Amino acid sequence: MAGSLEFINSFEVTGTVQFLDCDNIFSDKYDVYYLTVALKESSPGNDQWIYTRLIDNSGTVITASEYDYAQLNLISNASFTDTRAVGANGILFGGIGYSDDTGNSAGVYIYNPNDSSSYTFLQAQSGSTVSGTLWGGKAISVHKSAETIRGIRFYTINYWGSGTVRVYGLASN
Amino acid sequence: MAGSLIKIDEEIVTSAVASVSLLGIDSTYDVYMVKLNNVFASADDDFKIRITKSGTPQTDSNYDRASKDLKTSGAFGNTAGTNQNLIDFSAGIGTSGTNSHNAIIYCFNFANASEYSFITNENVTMRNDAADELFGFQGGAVHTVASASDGLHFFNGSANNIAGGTFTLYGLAK
Repeated sequence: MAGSLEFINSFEVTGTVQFLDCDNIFSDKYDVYYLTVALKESSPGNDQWIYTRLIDNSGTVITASEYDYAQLNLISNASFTDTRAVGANGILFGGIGYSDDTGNSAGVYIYNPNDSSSYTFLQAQSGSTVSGTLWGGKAISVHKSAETIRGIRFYTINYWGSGTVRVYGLASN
Repeated sequence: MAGSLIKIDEEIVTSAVASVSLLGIDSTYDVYMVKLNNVFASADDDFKIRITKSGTPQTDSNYDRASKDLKTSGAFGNTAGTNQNLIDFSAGIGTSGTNSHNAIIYCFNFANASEYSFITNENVTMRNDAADELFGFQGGAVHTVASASDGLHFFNGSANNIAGGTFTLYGLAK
């Protein structure tokens, strides 16, 4: 029997970059997508949050202030913290891309990106170690514009030296 | 090559219904996953769940639940309850795709008649009530009755119809 989690594409960091575009991944074939994300900064001490923006149907990265997000930060040696924003120009994705072997990993569900009458919702869980401290993240977010979305950009204010994003569709078969 | 996520049941709501049941959980798989996307109601409401046994939603007061409530309006909250007659599953779902409910649920031990039935859930919605905010539960629930369960039943707490959405049940292949 065929499975219902179908691989679509993978995207790798090459060189030293500040963003990774996963374009032309959403279509009318699936309503919900699952992405695995592992992105690492280019050098120790550069650890920074991973952010995302969506890519519209014309291939333009959406930088308008149309994103809301809420993230619970689970820290192994300190109290948990909340991070949230309304009308932001990007989404705090969670995870910190540190250049150590214990780095970061995450999974994100993306709902309804191809539906022009719905908002696109995201839901992420992440884990990372920064200087030996575990940081976990549970996050939700929304792009508050009903339009067709065809891709997603991951970006950082520093530089990534390696990493991979894999994209799957949850099929109805 | 066979995949590891196998579709068991799916209900696509395109005209209003009072409730939706996803059935077919048995001992074929140990763990099942439910996907909800773009679910909305005929009027603003709160979405609820009950576990089914032999296809019948269980209305007894044997549900315990706990969750962290992620939201944009202020500090995240905690929601919990014991011996309830349903599982509170959302807040303020709306009437269109811009205020829809989207979720992933995992179901554990459902087919085991000597174990309780557990679920974990993570969900996200844009509330359409006075709060008007991004909101999502991250948590779990249990039906504290040791008998076999076979599915989940979804409905609105104030009895408004479910007007749209896709509900899909998958098994995680062994």
